[in-house]
This record gives sequence, C-alpha cells and structure tokens, in this order.
Amino acid sequence: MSYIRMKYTKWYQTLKSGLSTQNPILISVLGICSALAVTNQVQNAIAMGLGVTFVIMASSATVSLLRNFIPSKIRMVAYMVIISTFVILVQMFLKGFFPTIEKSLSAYVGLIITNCIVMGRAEAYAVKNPVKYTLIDGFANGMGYTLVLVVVAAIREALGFGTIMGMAVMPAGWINWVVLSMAPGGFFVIGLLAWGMRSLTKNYEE
Amino acid sequence: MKNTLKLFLFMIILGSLTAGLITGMDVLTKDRISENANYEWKSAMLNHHGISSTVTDTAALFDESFVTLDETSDPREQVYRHKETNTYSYFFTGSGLWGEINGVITLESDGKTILKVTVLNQQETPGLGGLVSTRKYLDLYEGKKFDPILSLYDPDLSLDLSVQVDQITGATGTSNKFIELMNANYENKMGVLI
Repeated sequence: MSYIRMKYTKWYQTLKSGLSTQNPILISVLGICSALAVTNQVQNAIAMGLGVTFVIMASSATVSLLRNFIPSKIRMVAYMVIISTFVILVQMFLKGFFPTIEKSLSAYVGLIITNCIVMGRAEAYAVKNPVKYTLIDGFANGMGYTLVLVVVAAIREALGFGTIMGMAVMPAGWINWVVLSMAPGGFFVIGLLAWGMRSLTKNYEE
Repeated sequence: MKNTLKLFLFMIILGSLTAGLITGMDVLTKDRISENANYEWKSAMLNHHGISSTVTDTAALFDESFVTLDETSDPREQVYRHKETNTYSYFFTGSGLWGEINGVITLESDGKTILKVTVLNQQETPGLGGLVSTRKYLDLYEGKKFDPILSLYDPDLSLDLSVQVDQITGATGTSNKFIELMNANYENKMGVLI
C-alpha cells in the first residue's frame, strides 16, 4: 500500500490523531494532573504511561464490545465500573511485580480512574466504533500521553537531577535546576511543549 | 418494568465479570504482595545495619542477621536482635495528624539509645508534617534516649537534652503525634524486655 493511500485509511488517521494532531495532553489538555505529578522521573513516566495505555485500550475495547448491550441510561456508570476494574488490575499487578514503582507513583495509579482521557475515549469513540479501531484509538491516545510524559520527564530529570533513568547525563559540576523537579517545573515544560506542538500542527484557539 | 429488569440484569452480569477478573488477579499476586509488604520494613532494618538487599534476598538475609525475642504471630509485632551487634530493631506504627505513620527503629544494645529511625509511610502535609519522613529530621533522633520516654524540646523543661528532640518547624501537631507514637511503641515492644 502506498504512503498516500495509507494516509487516508481510518486506522492511520486514528493513530495520527491520538499521537499528534489531537494529542490528549498537548492539544486536548486532558490528564494534566497526573502528567505534572509523575514526570519528575523518566521511570515513573514510563510506568504511568504504560498503565494508562493499558487501561484505555482494555476499557475502550470492553465498552466497544458491549456497546450494543450497555443501556444508555446507565452508560456512565457502566464505564466507571469497567475502567475501575482495569485500574485495580494495573494497581495489583504493580504492587505484586513492581513494588518500588507502585510506591513512587503512590495515589496516582488509583487516580487513573479519574483520568479524563480514559472516560473521554470511551464516550467519544469506543461506544460508536468496532473493537479493532477502538484498540488503535486507545493505543494512539495512550502512546500520545506516554510520549509526552517521557519527553517532559527526560527534560525535568536531566535538568533537575542531572540524570536520566538514574544514570548521570550532565557534566561534572552541573548545578541541578531544583525548580524543574518540583510541580512548577512540570507546568513550564508542558506549557512549552504545548506551544511547540500547537504551532507545528497549526492548532490555535481563537 | 422490562427496562428496569434489563438494567438490573446488565449490572449483575457486569459486576460478576469484573469481580471475577479482580479475583483472578488477586490469586495471581496475593503471595507476592504479602512478600513485598514484608520486604519494605525488613530491608529498612537491614539497611540500619549497613546491609543492602533486594526483593529476592531480603528474607534470607534478614533471617541470617536477626533473632526474634518473642514469638507472637505477626512478624511486625516482634522485636528483633541483631546477632552480631546485639542492637534491637522493631516496626512501629501509629496515628499521625492526618493518617498512619509507620517505620522501623533500631536501638543500641542498652535498649534505650536510638541508633537510627526510618519512616516508611506517612500521610502528613507535604512540606510541613511530611518532613517527618526526611533523613534530615530523623537524624535528630540519633543518640536520643527513651529514658523513660522521649519529649519534644522545650527550654522550660528541666529535662536532660538526651531525651528531647526538636520539633518540625510549622508542624507541631505532627511532631507531637510522632513522639507519642514512638513512646507508645517503645513501651509496647521494649517495656517487657528492659
């Protein structure tokens, strides 16, 4: 399949939308609380990103699978039950197999339940589309979220602690920019990235 | 009526399915979670004696290094004596200002002088009471004595300085609660031994 033809396929558009043109953090400005909280270290950003990606994909696929059975009156309640279940599964998995990461992410894993991206994809996409596209949409939005988290965390960890993934990356004598390891540092970096992405994709608000 | 029944049935089926999934994951992770819960405080106790450990070797290293002084059922309730240095270590827990504070403490062989304290979990106000888990604050406890109890520093008290500890600036409530829980745990764990 040529690139031009591929560009007009639904799966390509869905993937592109989640990763860049409708990136959940930089364009839609969703899931900001956790993004600010966990991006002081790359390791935490990767774990949180993968956790959110799994929850979006699994919950969206389940909602899509049940979309003809979910009574519209209680669809929000049903979404919450489904999303909560997958978040609990992620939390138990991390507690069992990656206890140190679970501890450093603390309450933020549980708070994936309230992450607007998860509920947003269920209501805006999964309930109207078949499972295969829903999985692509969940993957794209989850990865869009993860990529931004990792980039922000890499900048904050490198400048704030002088390390990336715990390995020293800055020259000897580097003075850490402590403000970047604190919450305001997250605002600065995400703000700059949002500006850059919106300029690149020409996504301006009038 | 038919619609209400449908809604009810749907929620029952959804609830059963999700409960099944959670139960399955619980079976898969239950043992590891309980192992990890012990890892945290056991590795902190080993760390007080300069021994670093990982999730896999903590239990073995712990058994090699410590003997227990009583045989109550819960390992967190027991007092441990280091085989070489004869120091005492135990897990402490209690209520802080906003939630549970727990950790481990190691005492010299006299059973009174504090060698090291580590706070593992706390829910105090970040930046104020939350400083209770920082090494900088906990180092103030090193060398202090339960004689018979610890107190917060007060220039008006005619107490020996070795039983007085500085409080966290701006967090009197947490400092008081922390001292109270340390004294209560000492009395509970070491009271019968000393």
